[in-house]
Formats: sequence, structure tokens, C-alpha cells
Amino acid sequence: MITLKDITKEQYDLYVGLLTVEQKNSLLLQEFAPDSYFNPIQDLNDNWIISVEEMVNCVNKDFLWVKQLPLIIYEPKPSPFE
Amino acid sequence: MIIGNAISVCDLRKKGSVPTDADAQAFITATGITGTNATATNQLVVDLKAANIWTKMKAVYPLVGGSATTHKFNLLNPADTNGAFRLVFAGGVTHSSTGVLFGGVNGWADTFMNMSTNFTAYDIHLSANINSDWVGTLEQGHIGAMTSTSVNNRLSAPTSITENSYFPRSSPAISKAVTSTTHKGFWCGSRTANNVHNFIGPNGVINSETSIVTGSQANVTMGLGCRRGTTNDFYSGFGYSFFSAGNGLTTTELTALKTAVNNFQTTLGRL
Repeated sequence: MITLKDITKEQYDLYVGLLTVEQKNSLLLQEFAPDSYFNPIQDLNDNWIISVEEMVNCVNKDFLWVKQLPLIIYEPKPSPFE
Repeated sequence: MIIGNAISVCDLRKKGSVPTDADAQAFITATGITGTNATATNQLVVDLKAANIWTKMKAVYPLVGGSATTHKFNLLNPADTNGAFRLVFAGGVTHSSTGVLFGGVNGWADTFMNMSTNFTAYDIHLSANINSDWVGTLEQGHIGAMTSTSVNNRLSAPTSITENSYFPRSSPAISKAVTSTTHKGFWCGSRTANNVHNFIGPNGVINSETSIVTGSQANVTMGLGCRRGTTNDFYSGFGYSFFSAGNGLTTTELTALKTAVNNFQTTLGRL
């Protein structure tokens, strides 16, 4: 399993943190830092994910567990308009 | 005390600068910025007013101070409310003294400015100052919104690294693209009539389009750092140091806005 400690800053946009549906629901409308909110989205395979930046920059003590999330390769959903 | 912990009129005069503009002071007080951040912001307001652009603005985001808490404020109305078009950042966004870096995955900012209620179809400008490049495989949205291929008004970067586009697109579909050696710099798309579209890029050249384009604005709030829609996509990986949105600008006003923004970034040392 790949975690934050395994990647460099230059790889932040290549990976995302994998969430369960329950974890995703708990992050909705919650701040990971002052004036910065979690934004779980779904990837190409409908996994719920957050960015590495949200994991690294999280200072909200209620959600520090996001730093332990397993990382997967980011595969964006195709645009509905293209 | 009008200055709080920010900057005083006396300090500015001692440095041979201009007195603090009242609108700039409101922003300085709200953000708590000091020193060069404050003097540069004051000069930006003075320059926009001198060019008669200020009254055409609905939102100006100078992105100074280095944190989400200072970057969120609208220079036009620095109240911490949705009604003042204060930004709410979500997802992977990194804040620093250079501005905001959207991470290219899910980072964006909501302006709370509904495009259909705040803009008419043919009177709008959208601008963004980019200060770090990014290479991606998908288009990336800078500012605006799109709810269908026929309701589409935004600035974005296509997959090519050297091109940015302005989409005043409704029906028939058009876009104006400017090729540049870099994405870094000031970009602005504007329309002042259904057949008057102007687009300026970092090289300062005005590209004009006279096709008649009809249509409407998207009935969603304008987003920064993504293609805002009923579902957001095309999240941007670029770094930004300025955004603005407002009424359409003439070619002279486009150039004046570019000059004011460039001077602002130069003073802050973050071009």
C-alpha cells in the first residue's frame, strides 16, 4: 500500500487518497485547514478520493486520519461535454 | 483608528506614496495585510479607478497575504459573506505569498456569484493572472462557468501548453485562442456586445472576434480553478496571482487592466 511517506511533492498530482463512502460522508462541509474545505470527488472508477494536498495540509484534529489514507493513481472522470 | 494593524496614511506619505484609498483601506483592514502587500493593493485600486475600470468590476481577487484567510476577500467588497462574493476554497489548493496553486485534482474556489443573475449575456469580462505553468492531459478551467456546450462563458487552457482560450460561447459556438510561449501572464476575455469579443494574452496583443454570438449565462455560481458547472471538472493545476470578473471592457480598458495587474505583481515581486 502506498501512503504519503512514499511520495515526493512532485508526485502530489499523480496520486489521490482513497476514501470509503462513510469516510467521504464524514468529510463533507468540513475544513481541513482554516477557510479550506475538503472536496471529495469520484474518479474514473467511481472511487471517492481527496487530493494529496488535503491530506498533507490537514490540521483539523478531527480529521488527521486522512494522512493515513492509502494512495492510488489519479484517474479523472471524462468530461460529460466532450 | 482607521488603520488597525495594517498600514497608516502617515506611513504611506512618509514613503512618498499616495494616500490610502478608502476602498483599499477596507480590504487592508479585512485581510490584515501590511507593508508592501498593503501599498501594492492600494496602488492597484488607485490605478483601476484612474483607468475608469473600478466601477466595471464585480469582483477582484488580489490573492495577497499568503493564506486562504487573506486570499478569500473580494477587493470590491471585503466582507466575509457569500453576498460579498467572498471565496470559499475547497479541495487541494496551496496558498502562499505568490498566490494560490490549484493542484489539478479537485481544488477550486466558489465565488458565490451566480453568473445568470449577475451578468447579462453580452456584457462581461473574466481575467486571470497565471504565475506558474502546469502540464496536464486535460483542459483546465481558470474562471467562469459552463452548464452545457451552449451555455459557456469562461477562460480556460486547452491541452496545449502554449494556448489559452476565451469562450463567450453559446450559439453559434466560438472561442478565441491566443498562442503564447508560456501560460504565465495576464489573460482576459471580454465582450461588450453580441458581436464584440476581445481577448488579451501575456503578449498584450488584442485578438478580436466579430461573430454574432447569442445565448445566456450559466445558472450556477462562478468558479475559479476548474470548469464550474452542475458538476465541476477540468480542475486546474496552474498557479494564480489575480482574478477579476465584471462588465465588459473596451480594448483600451483591457490594456489598462493588464498594465495595472502587471504593476501590482511587479511591486509584489511575483510576476
